[in-house]
Amino acid sequence: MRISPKLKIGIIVIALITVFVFLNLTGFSKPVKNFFYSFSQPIQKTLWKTGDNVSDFFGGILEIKIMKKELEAVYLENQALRGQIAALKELKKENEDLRNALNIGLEKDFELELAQITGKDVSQDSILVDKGSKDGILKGFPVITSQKILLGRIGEVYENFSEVILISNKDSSFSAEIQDKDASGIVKGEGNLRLYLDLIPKNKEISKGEFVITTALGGIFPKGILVGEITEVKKTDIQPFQTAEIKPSFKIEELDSVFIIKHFAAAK
Amino acid sequence: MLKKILILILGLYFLTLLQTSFSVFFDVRGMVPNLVFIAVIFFNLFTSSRSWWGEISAFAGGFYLDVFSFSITGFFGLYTLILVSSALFIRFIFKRYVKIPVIKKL
Repeated sequence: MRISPKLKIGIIVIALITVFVFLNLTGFSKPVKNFFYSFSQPIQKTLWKTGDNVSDFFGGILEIKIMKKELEAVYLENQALRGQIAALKELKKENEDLRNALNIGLEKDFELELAQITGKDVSQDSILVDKGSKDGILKGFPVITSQKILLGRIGEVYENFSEVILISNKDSSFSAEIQDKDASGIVKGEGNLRLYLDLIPKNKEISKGEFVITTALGGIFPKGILVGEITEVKKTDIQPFQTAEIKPSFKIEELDSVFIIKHFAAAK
Repeated sequence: MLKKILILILGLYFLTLLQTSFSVFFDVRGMVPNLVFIAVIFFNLFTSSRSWWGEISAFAGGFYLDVFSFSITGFFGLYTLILVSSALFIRFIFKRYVKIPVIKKL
């Protein structure tokens, strides 16, 4: 019996839909994904490193003038920071002496798990790391860089891999405050590695260049982790709150490894 | 014939890895071209509608995108369904209404 082309097409489409509904309902798609990630990890790592090196090379050529100016500015900032470090060392010593005198134990900040980045989905503001459920990773764990800069939190967890939803993802929102100012708001992702701080009270004076850090509100992230720097403040007479554009402090192109926070002490 | 299909499937696999791990460093304002989509559309436009190259490339490309991308809806298979439907639609239109040169040697 000859099957007409239209019927063939209909059968194919229905068969595909059935297979994928089955995969989604039974959760069999996770082991399939995990298998492909494990298999592809060496290749993805190599491609990631190669891409990083090639983009650094071409970026360096194209931005020589800009890099020279930035280098001079960084040198001056470095000198100023050296002075601050000297003063802070004294404070740290004083702090330790006081803690010893009052017999207060210094708790470890976080319980961390080091993970390597193996892939990135530009359109979804998320990355793939090589630690999963067998390493004790759970959905919702915060993720930071080695410089203690906030990156995001764990989304989907597979056996050997996990997806990290970046803070710039459109579904991301959390409480944050402006450092050294009594001004807090909600950081929301805009996609394409952009964020903004919303719901800032209008009576608070905020300016470009100020740093935004996390608060303990909501228990999503540990307190005091650097989020980014304010690049623009938007204030209108008709809106009850002001907003601020934030440039995230992490640079995804320069990241090779991240830290997953498995446990952090909640703020008292 | 089987050898050619395997080469196609492997080629799309490496293209997906290239897209998710290499070309992310060359984004323009956060946008990176979807190489797999481009390859699948290419196969559907420039291979004969009597052959199955377009549909095979759509299935393989869509499957790899589902595996290596983080779907908005969380439905595994969304990209496969989109690409296969697009492939079938392109074949339908080209069979009836459009005549363009095709790659005969495949």
